[in-house]
Amino acid sequence: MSNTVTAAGTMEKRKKRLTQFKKCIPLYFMALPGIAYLFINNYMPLPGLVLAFKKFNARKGIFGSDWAGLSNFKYLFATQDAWIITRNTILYNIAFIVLNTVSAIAVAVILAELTSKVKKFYQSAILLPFLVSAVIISYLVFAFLSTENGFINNSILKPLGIEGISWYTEKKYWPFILVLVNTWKTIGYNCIIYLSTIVGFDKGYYESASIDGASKWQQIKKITIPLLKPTIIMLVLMYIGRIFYSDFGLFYQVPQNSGALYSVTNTIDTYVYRGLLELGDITMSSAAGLYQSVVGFILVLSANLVVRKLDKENALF
Amino acid sequence: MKKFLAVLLSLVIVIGLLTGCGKKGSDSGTASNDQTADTSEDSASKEEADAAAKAIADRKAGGEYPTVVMAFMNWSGSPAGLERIQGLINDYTEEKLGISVELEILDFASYSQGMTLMLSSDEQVDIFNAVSLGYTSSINKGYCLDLEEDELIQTYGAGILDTMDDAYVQACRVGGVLYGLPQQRDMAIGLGGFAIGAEYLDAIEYDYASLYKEGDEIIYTDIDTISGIYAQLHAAYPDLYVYAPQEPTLGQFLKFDALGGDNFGVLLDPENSLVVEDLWGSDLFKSFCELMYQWNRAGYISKDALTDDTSATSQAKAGTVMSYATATKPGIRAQETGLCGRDMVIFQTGEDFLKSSAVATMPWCVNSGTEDPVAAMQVLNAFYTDTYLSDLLCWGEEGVEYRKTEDGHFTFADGITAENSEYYNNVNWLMPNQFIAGIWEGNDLNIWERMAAFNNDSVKSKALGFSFDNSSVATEYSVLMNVYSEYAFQLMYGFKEPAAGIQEMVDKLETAGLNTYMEAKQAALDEWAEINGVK
Repeated sequence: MSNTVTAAGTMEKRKKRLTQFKKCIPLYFMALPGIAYLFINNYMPLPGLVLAFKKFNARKGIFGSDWAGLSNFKYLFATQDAWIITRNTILYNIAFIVLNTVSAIAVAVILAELTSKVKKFYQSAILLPFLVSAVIISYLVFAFLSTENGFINNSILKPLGIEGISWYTEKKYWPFILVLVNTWKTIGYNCIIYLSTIVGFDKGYYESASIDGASKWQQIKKITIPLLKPTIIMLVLMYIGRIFYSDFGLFYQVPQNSGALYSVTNTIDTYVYRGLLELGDITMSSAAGLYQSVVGFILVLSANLVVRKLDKENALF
Repeated sequence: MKKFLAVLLSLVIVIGLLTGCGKKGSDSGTASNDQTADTSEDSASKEEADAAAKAIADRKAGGEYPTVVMAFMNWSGSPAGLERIQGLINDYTEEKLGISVELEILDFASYSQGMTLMLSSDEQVDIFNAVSLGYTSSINKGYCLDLEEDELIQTYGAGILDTMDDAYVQACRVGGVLYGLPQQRDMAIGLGGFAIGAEYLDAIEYDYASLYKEGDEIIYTDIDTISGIYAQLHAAYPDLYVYAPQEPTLGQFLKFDALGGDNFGVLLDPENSLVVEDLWGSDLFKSFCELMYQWNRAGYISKDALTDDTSATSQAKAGTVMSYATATKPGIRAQETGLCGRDMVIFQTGEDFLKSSAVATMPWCVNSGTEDPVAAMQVLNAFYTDTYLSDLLCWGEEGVEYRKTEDGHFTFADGITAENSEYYNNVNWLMPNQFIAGIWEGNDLNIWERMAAFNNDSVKSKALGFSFDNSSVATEYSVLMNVYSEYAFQLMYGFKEPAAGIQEMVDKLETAGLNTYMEAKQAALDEWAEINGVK
């Protein structure tokens, strides 16, 4: 008897689920192209990761090639440069995360205060550099820094009676140049999400705050920033997931691939590119890609874990 | 978290499914490979004396012509007139060989990547050129067919062996196996060549015309003379740069043999010794850096030279640079004059030299996965021996792309220029046999005889034919390359004080594993010498 009851119960449940599924069919259908894209582009190539552990031979094919163990990973760790490239990648990315977040929030808050006409102009103007290719940016930078014809050497240092600097062979300036260029380039894009969130806040908070006599600064500190917290955490988590990647254009094109600057501009991506440009070894490049993804994955999980410990509601999952 | 785990789980399942599929696919792939191997074995054993003619007759009797895909690179990618030229080639090869030919032309920048994709997937490529892919690395990855498998080349490519100098064919052996075939081109290089714009020499009243020995296009001199000319040029034209440094100049100026094509472990006395030595710590390299440092200090070189990758010829064409270094060969004067768009005078300060790696840098190979090796070899054979095909491949269609002049040269057809030509193949040195094709206007009609003599008379490296497979020391190589890029350009372009700079570079190279790399090279060279009986 009880058996039939539970059976009927599960039947009921199934029915319910089925009707729910039927209801959502149009939605699923709409999601289909996106899912297909995700599947083809992101999941179908995954079995190819096995290449990182193989000694590739075209005659035997990807899956038939001999196993190579971890030897494809060796060049990432077994060299004197391993420390430098890891340090550069992580330190630059930490600097970018901090600076980009702070500057993006600041710009978003300021933009939100402006009237709509001026706002649109400013927003487009600061977004522009993000849309420009890294190669063009590298030449904009070159226009400033060229030893012979550059703006800084000729129009700033010369009138001051200072001898021109050979920018592309002097290491000490580049950490600052790269951080500056990166902030300039990405600030417009980074502030978009913050700005759209701020615009969506209930105006009632601000109205009652100003009635209570809160200044603009107090409103920002006590209302805007706390309300932005979930967005900030989400975006920072996403950055952290990519902390082992670097903007190839920024580190390769902007210093004009100048050899003298390698110790401050070499990151994992540029190192792998330079090393494999000559070798053309697809197994070693898959090893590098796998290493970056695995470390990124672990970092996202652990960062999320920390967030969940501190503030359960704002954790991503 | 549960949801996340569920997603993760389903992912694992999906990946599992996919790997399943992948395995099946590759299994069937190997099966078909086995089949083709079987049939080629069968046919080889059946064929006897006139096997080549019989293969053609069989194909024609069958009525179905196999297609052979031939891939190579040029500077600008697939030309507009490709279909037409391919059609003309096909009309001819179908008639003569019973084979259709399809040309796959990729541009230089995408060639290596495109070919890697085509060769490692199931896409059809039967014949390919190993330029920019790397000959040894192609062999290591299993792309190249053993051309002597079942006497393939002896039976179906006899014309190639007749045409090509046997020494050059032998130089393409790797580990005793012939995987590729060299083409007819300049093999040697004239070391220490310099091209200087004639108008600038005229302006400083330098009498170069009387310095030519009769019939020569090159003035043989020494480096002090060049330095002297540079000093005068700089004084006369302080606003122009005298000299545009370039990366390959090192190997085109100094006489050493970069074994396997990289500069880590070289032969410093290539005529007499097979001892692998370090180039960077040598006096040879130091003297080169000192010269460049001196030139740079004197203001001959642009301060932005390190970051400027515009080619020296384009800079000379634009009129910002008066001179640059180049490797010389017969026809160099016409070539550089054409490239720079102004009359260039060529000086040479070194010998003519043939490096170990010169012959086997861009051999023609047959894909190991080809379905019909016989057809592939017969097509190659035709391109090496047939004047009509070589003309088509090198210059396009007569009356459309080119016409013959009265004295027997080829030149652009009426109204055609390099810019609007539908088939302007600017890589004839890559083609199997440019020596049998027409000679372009501006070159001597006997240029190929002179070229052959130039190759033959040059000083030859003892290691000629040795190629180095660096896959066992690939880690060291990638690190050495990083050190190279960090220091070598500053030194080679004269931006760093040589004494201290070289020491710094050598120290870093040593910690990067230069000695391990050199030991591996020496071992491979010793083994090669043993097999080939070189002492």
